[in-house]
Amino acid sequence: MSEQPIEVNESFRSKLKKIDARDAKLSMAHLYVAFIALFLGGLAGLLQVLVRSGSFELPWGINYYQVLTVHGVLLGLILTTFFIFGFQTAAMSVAVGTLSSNQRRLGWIGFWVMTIGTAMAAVMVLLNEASVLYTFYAPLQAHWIFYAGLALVVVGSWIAALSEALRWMKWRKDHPKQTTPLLGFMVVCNNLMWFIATIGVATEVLFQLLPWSLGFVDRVDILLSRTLFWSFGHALVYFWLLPAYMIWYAIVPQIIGGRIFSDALARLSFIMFVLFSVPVGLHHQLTEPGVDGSWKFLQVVLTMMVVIPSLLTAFSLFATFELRGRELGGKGIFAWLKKLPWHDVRFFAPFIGMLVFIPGGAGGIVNASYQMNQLIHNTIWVTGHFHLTVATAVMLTFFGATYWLVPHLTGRTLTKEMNKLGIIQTILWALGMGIMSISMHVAGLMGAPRRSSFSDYGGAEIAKTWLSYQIAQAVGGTLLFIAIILFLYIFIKLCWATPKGHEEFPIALVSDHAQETPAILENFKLWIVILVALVLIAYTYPIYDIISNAPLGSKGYKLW
Amino acid sequence: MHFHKYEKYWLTFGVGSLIVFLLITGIMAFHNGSHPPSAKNTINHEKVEQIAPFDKPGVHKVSGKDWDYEVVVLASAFFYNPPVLEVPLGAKVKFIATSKDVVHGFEIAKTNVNMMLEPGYISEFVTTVNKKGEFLIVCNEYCGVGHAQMHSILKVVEPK
Amino acid sequence: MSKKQDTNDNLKGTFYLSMTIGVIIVAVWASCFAIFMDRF
Repeated sequence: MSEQPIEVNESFRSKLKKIDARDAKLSMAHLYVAFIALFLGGLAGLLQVLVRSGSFELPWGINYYQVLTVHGVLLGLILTTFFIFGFQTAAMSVAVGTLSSNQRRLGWIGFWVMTIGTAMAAVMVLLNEASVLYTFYAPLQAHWIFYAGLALVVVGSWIAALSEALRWMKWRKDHPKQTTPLLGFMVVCNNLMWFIATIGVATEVLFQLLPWSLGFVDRVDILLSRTLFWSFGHALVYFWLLPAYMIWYAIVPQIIGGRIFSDALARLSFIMFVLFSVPVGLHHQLTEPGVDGSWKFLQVVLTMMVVIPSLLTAFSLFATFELRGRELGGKGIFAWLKKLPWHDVRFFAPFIGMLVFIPGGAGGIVNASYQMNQLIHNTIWVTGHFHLTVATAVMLTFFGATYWLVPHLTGRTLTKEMNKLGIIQTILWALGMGIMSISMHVAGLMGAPRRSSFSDYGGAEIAKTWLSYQIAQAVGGTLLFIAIILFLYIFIKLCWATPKGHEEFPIALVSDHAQETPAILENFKLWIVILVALVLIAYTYPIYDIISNAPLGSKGYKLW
Repeated sequence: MHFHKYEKYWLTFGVGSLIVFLLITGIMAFHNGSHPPSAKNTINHEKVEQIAPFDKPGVHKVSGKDWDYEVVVLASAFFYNPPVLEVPLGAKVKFIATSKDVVHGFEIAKTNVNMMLEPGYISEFVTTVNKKGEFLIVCNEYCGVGHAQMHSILKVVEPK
Repeated sequence: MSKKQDTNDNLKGTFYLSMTIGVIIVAVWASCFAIFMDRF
């Protein structure tokens, strides 16, 4: 037998790379909680769209807003946070290196603290002691255990982030003067942003809502609590988005057999997301009294800065696809698109997510456009907006990642059959969300409010025009629930049933054409200083103003 | 950092559009005075019914001001006082509203009148009602179990 | 030594696709702006 020359290039080595089994277990633990939350939260969503269609009433006197709280908390906070830390744990372990036993122990402590917190909050919601929605605006007052539970979720996420940060610092020590692997860099960025962003909401919960709900203080400053919440609330949406960006930038190119277009531009866009994540929360409060218009406008400008990394991302991703399509012999202006692996769900799902992010981003620019916010503020347009961004762009990317991540972690394979079901699931999701979200946008422009149970508004003519859109939302929502069931079926198969084997954890390499990465991008001290400075510039005066002009605070109300 | 030629064109177009958006909203705001509701007056929300102007909710014709009518609305779970508002077509109206209890919304459907009402703060918005008809006012911030039933009507009628 | 980005990379498709996104964004914004200006 003649010896065949074996091409052992980096890309091939990445295909063989296997996560440490103990890290895999930690990652999987997060995914189980995440997808239990997906099922329950999805069920709540289905009930909501059915109620709003006007042809269904909740049995046993269940309160619509209790169901809405379940939906928002489980999907917006629990599913996302658990999936993200599950994914990031695996990404750190594979891209940067296996966790040390201390780091892994911290990861488990973080996991259990988050899980106990989730259980505490869930019990209070189920007892109807906390039907305050996932934004828990005071002076509606939930049971203190609800707030304490959410605080534990945040603290647990800090511990998990610390574990990942320690792994990164160890890498830096072992590899002086080297650039952190891209995926590791992105995880560090996301955790850094998360930590700084959650300081605001932690302050709100620890110093305002907990003492108030425990009865230690009578009154709470409403505007301050809302401002602290939103200093976190918009960074929260980037915390959902950045892991999807990690997959788009650092993983999808490998799936299609291509290369990362530019390592430096990928890092630059992450840094910009970090910088413009926190000092922008006032754009959620544009129609509120008590804050000067000029300060709102300043934060509108800072909000819009995030369009720049989004433009960079769009170009980089298309360029990755085009370079690969042409490498495979694709010609013409668009004909290379045909060369992309459309039948591979690991590519197809996140790609559809990217496409949906385009109208999502367009709508987002409208939302943040200062006085134009009055057009859509708190209408169901907003609900439609974030069902495009987080619930489609981000979730489809997470689904697509689950299809290779879970078999990688469980030592199984993504079979052809599961791949096909995954593609059907993606199409169902896109279709359901398309129908639901478009009708939400249209109804919102016609004035239909968000977060509202079914109502004919005293027989008002305009409310009748909203009804057909609500029925369309029910159709879309039903498709989405079917897609969730299908997803969970695939997930269970990948956990326990598909054939054993090795499924790749795809990590892409940088294109040979790309430039070297400037060292400044890794200078986190500099970025932290700029971020803190931006937060101080954007928030010091408004918060000082809110505190010094504060009216009498509010007692708690339980109006559900 | 190096950018591909097309990427430069794309960024120029994108950032250019962004600047245009910000210039338009900025000029509308700081030149034409079109700000979202951002009034800063505060009030004791527990005694609000004894304090002007909320001691007399309703539509009041005023003179010597930049607007012709003041519409004073007091929101509480789960209704607006008064339940029906009537203003003449073409009038310049100042909406003045607050909440007696939790956070509510004050949205006149299919108009730009859309503001948060928060206990302790007075929300204001000035506009010229230039379309005739009945406009539904809805609460668009979750305020409790009766949230979806919380509504009222703005009637814009021919001037007498 | 920094490697030069190959500016001969054919990215025509990328450019047109990106510009399509741009046109969508401007169109959405302009329509919403028109509605905003039309309403009181």
